Amino acid sequence: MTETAITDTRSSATRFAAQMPRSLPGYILLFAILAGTVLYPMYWLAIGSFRTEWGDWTLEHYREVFTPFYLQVMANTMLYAAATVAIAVPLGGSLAWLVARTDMPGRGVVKALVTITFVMPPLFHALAFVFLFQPQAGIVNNLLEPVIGLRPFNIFSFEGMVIATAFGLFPQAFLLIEAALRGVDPSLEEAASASGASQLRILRTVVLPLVTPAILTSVVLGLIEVLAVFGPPAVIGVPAKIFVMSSQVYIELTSAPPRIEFSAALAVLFLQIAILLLVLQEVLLRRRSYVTIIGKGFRPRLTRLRGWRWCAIGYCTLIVLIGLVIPTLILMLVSVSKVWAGGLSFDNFTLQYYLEAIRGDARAATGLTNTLLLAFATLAATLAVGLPVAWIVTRQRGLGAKVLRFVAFLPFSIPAVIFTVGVILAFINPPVVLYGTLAIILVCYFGRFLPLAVQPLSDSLRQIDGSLEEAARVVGSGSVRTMIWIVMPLLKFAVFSTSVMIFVACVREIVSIALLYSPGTETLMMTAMIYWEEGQIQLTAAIVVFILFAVAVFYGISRLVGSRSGIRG
Amino acid sequence: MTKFRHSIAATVALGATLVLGGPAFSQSADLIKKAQEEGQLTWYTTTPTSLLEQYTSAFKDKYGIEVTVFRGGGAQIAQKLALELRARKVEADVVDLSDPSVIHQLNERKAIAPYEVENAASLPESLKAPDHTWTAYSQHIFPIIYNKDLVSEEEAPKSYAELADPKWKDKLAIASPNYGATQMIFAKGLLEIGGWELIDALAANNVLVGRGWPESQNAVVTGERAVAVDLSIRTFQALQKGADLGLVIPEEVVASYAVASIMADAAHPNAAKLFVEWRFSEEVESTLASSGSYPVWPEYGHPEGMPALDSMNLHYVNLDELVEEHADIKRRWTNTLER
Repeated sequence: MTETAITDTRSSATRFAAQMPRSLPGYILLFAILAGTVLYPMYWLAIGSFRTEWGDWTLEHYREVFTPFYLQVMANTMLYAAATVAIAVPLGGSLAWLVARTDMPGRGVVKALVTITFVMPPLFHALAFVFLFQPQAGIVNNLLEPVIGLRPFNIFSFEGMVIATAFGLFPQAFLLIEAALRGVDPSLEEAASASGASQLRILRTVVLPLVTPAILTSVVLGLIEVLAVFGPPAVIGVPAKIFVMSSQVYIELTSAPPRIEFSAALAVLFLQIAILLLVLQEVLLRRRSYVTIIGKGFRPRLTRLRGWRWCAIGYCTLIVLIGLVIPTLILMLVSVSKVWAGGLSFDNFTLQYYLEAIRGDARAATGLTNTLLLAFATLAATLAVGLPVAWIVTRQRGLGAKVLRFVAFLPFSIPAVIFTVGVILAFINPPVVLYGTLAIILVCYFGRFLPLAVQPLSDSLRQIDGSLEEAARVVGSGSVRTMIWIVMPLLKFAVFSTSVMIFVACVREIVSIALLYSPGTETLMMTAMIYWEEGQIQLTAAIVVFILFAVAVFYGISRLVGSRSGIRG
Repeated sequence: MTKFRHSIAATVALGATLVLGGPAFSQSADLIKKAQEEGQLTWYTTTPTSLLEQYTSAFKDKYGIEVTVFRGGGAQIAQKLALELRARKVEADVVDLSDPSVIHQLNERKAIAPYEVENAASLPESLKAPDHTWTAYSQHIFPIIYNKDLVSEEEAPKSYAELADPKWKDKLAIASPNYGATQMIFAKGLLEIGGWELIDALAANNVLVGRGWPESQNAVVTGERAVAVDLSIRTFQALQKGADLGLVIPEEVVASYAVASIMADAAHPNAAKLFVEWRFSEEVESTLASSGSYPVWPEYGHPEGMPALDSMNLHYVNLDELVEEHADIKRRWTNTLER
């Protein structure tokens, strides 16, 4: 008999995982939570679309959905998404190239400013652009009229809506593409250059194909996000009588009586389209992971701009001005103006609106309290559930882990409007009735933001070698103890930056809260929206400015802590 | 007249009022006792916040019964009720609504308990449901308001029909029936007076359709629009705050009323009945005018700055028609003015 040497070629993580006792009750608990907050709403969405408000079965909703008006709404939504992404991705991509791959002076500043813009929700751009380009009282129109005799701008148009949204969306494309560009191995370009290829050729044949996955990902993610954006459609689209999914669902749900089941039918139909994008995203994201893992620590080859650099600086300045500086200034200006279009002058200056927001009809105070409550509760819930889920997803291989991963990440692919309608239906019908409480908002936020937590936590966990945990196990530490004393300290910074991200996501959130709130459970963003709907312009601006600065401060703190610890952002 | 004759005249007048037809308030000791045993009640209402504290403490002082309040717009209350009925978890005992046709819908679900309010016996039949499922406790009208800087008193429209005039193009604002109960009542009233031709003319005039009364009023206050129709209580509140709004009572003005009802599955039925009876007492009805509503008995006055009800040509909507038609009205209105 020959002795065969057996070599175990599995990674240390796999060996460890295989030895791990599967904590079945824990897994079942996690799955139950995810099923209750993600699958249950989707089930209700499907069922609800076939029922009347009193519970009888019906096809009337689908009959109405297939009428010209609603088909137009869907067509508008897709056109809106396509047009916005068609502007945002090239915008973000061009800036990303200038920042990551050229020697343009001030590129660090540009990157920082674009990152700050990322934190501003599209609603802010929409409001600012309305203040500037409204036909009757828009500030730019007011300034131009005495000079050229015309009032050329009307923001209340499809183009206006698209441009406002594009400026809110381009930072996301920027961040994705910039990261990919930084990760390109320069030796590939060196080789091409050594073989005699020109700059342009290298760009076209070496760099571009390598970042194509990132570009495609930003396109798909951008499309999914625009499908759910609410600010510009509500503030610009509705007055222009251009309705898209998010604004139309808002109209249906806020009518008296609310047409919840009908919105479900609208959402279900629209989901079919979103599913196509989901499939696309799955295919593309699998490819993306290859590109970003390579390239850490390489110094990319920079293109020298020479004479073009003034053009580049001018271009970047223009984008940053329109995307960040001017909207912020305008919002601040309006918030302190007695008469909002009255212009800059001491006569027109007042702090009354800030005072009114603080002391006035208590809606702002309620909004602030609710925002903080919801943000902290969501944070606690997503971390408490997200950590074990991330751990299972990265350390275990079986079917259980795959199912958990699918359910946990499902909300990423469902546009927020659609998901929210499902949550409404699920929790206004027995057995679990949460309507009118903060709890229903919390459940919605939890479902939507859990993948936002699991993603970075899994990424960080993957970077931690399983041998550490294996060593702990060998000396007798149980899995919970290992988690607390070995894993969590190593994840400290990932947890911190994830926390900030979730907190900021909760504070900026507008589309779900608009559909879910009732008097007493509104958040600060919703209070701003309510003031806007009531025509209280300055109050809207005051609240928006406050949120902007609060969010910028939080984000700044997180970057500061992150950089101190040596973690690259 | 001498002082003595004054007081005789006053006494005679008071006596006459009591005898002839003012409200008589009787609340049987039996009802009071049963209500106090229940000890509390839940009230959904549109009453302005400024009055709520006054009401709940007055009721508590008088009878020792704790009142829990949910305050919202008429549409919000209707929605909350509808959802609670769906979830089979109704918490309200007494409910105030601004659109009596909603009561009809709730009635179909057997959600309302009929109750004949003793203290409202002297009210005209038009202000009570024939089956006692609702009783009107306050009234409102829908005046025309205008921005005094943009429109002079002579130019201001004197009737809803005048809003059709093309000279008002881009200058009008109105509230949508899709988002509010009183807004729905007004739309129905407008249709009864001017028909769909009037609505089409408003569309041709590019009327700004607001989600609610605040939006259309604000459009006039800021000057974005020159003329709007408003709800009397909101106009009153704005005028009290010092807004310089012009006011016109149309030659035929739509009027509406807010009604109180008791829920069929009320957890505190006797407290609910007592509370509703108390709402029709002098101590409550006399406070309405000072907060901008019209009481249902003219003796208790009318809001400052607005005329008495009987000096106006009031148009009340046909409730039965409203019940039948409201979905169709909303659909046609939306297609004409909001899409």
